[in-house]
Amino acid sequence: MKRGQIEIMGLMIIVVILALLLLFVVKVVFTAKQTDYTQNYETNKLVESFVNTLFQTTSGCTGDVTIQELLIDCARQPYSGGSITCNDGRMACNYANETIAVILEDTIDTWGYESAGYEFIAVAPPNVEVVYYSSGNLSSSLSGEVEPFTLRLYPSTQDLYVYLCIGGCGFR
Amino acid sequence: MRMQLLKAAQECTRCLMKKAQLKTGETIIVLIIFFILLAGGMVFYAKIQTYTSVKKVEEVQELNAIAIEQRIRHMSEISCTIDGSVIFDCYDIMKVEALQETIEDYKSYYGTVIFPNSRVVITSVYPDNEEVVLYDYGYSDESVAVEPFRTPVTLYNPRDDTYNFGYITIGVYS
Repeated sequence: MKRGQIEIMGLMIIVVILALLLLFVVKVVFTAKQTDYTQNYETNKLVESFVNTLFQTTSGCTGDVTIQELLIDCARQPYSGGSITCNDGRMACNYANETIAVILEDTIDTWGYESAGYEFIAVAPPNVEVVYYSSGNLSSSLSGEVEPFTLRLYPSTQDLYVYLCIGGCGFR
Repeated sequence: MRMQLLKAAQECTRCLMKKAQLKTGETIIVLIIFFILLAGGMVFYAKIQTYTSVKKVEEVQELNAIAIEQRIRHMSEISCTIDGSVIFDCYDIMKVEALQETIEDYKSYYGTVIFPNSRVVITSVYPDNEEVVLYDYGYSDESVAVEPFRTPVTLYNPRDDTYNFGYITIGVYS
């Protein structure tokens, strides 16, 4: 090999090493997936507080019936739409569904979760979806919180499961 | 013979001069490339530093918002109670209204210790739509904030004994 060729090869090796270094730095600084603790906290807190708050909320159906009571009534008789008839003539299941949709539209829908998407599902025994609401692009998964909130349907030992999954529950 | 030798020596000197000039030119080009690379590296480093510092500020703002949220959660001034027991994530609307007046009276304490550089708004969504600004540090229009932290809460209305669905919005500014 001539001296000139060797020099060019050396130069190329240096350029390749520099390019690799640059790529490594760009990858580490800009694309490294950091553990976003605040985002995780915010998502977990949102799910927990949302469902707990929803259960306590006065439904406006009749008297001081809460949304939790409406859901339980609906889950006991899912095929007939529940036993409670609200002041406006709607049955418990229908009323709960529409009220929950209104609350979700006014809150999570406006809080920037469209890209992650989310699902709200209430599943009554034997396996009936009494409430279903979804929004946004469910293909992505943010926290993937799929632990259900359980409401016991006394006096039976069966439970109503309520899910609020940011990113989608993956049941469908 | 002597003339011939002199001519050869002159040619050799010219040839050496040319070689030296070439070497100097090469060194200058190498130095220029080196300084260009150095300048590029410095610009790149500065960009990375700016990017990371912006991220850091955002992270601090988010953490401050969470800290304020934790403080609000444990404020005995506004929490709902039944027979002395506190209901978690529930705030009494009448107590919130009373706290607004207290904040006006002790603005420096609440502004520096409880809600530093923040805007706290309590919004009722269902069944009533209502919004209460609990605290605004005063410069929120001119300042920069990250996406505000929102958390759902129950709002108890003792006037008609109902529990509203609401949320607290905490914006922290820099």
